[in-house]
Amino acid sequence: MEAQQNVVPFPGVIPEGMARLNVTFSGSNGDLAEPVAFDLADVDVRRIAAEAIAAGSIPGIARVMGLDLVDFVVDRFGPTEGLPARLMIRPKVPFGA
Amino acid sequence: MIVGVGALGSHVALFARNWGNPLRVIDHDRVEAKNLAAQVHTRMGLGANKAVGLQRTLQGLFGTRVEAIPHRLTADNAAQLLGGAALVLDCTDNIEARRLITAAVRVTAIPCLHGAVSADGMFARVVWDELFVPDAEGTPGAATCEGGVALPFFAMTGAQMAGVAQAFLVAGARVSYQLTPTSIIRIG
Repeated sequence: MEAQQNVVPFPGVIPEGMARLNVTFSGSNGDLAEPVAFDLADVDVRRIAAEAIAAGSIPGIARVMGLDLVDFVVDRFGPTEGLPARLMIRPKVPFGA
Repeated sequence: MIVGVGALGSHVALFARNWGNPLRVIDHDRVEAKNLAAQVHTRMGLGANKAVGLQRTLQGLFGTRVEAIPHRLTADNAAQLLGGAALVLDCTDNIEARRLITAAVRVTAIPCLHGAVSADGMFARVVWDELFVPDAEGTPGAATCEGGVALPFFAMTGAQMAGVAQAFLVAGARVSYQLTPTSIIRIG
């Protein structure tokens, strides 16, 4: 329940110090309904995302139980023109050639 | 200049074929039969260096002028091989090569766009160097997506990367994205 301590009502303007949390998992992508604290530790971002996937509460991402997302990367982007502050948790991308 | 012309880089080259100036492509690897399912390489190029094979393919099919550099990028030659490029497109498949490229372009102030794909071939990033941190493999030495299943996604990512690069070359825009097979999201 620690995750719930880090969220505030949404939608609306994302308050200072908060960020939209975007999750990419298994080829699908979606935002959590509530913003989270921008300075959350990576381990907490992984836990919140895993809990949201387990709850089936991220639009566009199928419900999957028991994930730890330990190999996932957390990117942090401050607010820019037209975009709010965002945390984005995603798979590693080592390949190209 | 495209560094790495396998699954991603060969598609970037395909979609960059009408840029006008000669494309410079770098790759030390050879075309194998398993590459044909997901890369812009052909049976005629089997056994050839990938940069040379792609040069022949693009010149033969479209008349595109391509300069092939059939060498491995190393700490000793990176600055020389990348020097003078208007734009470097990093399509390599390992963290060592990405670190070499990143170090070289940051010293020389050459614009660099990185393209990178997840191991399952279902997620990719097209990211300008200022936002880029190279990822290590989850399991070192793990096979990349060599089957044809991910071909549409490689083509989609290659097209996006070529489009982003073209927007930079034409208008100086530097926009970064992440992609899944069903979404393209601007990240910066």
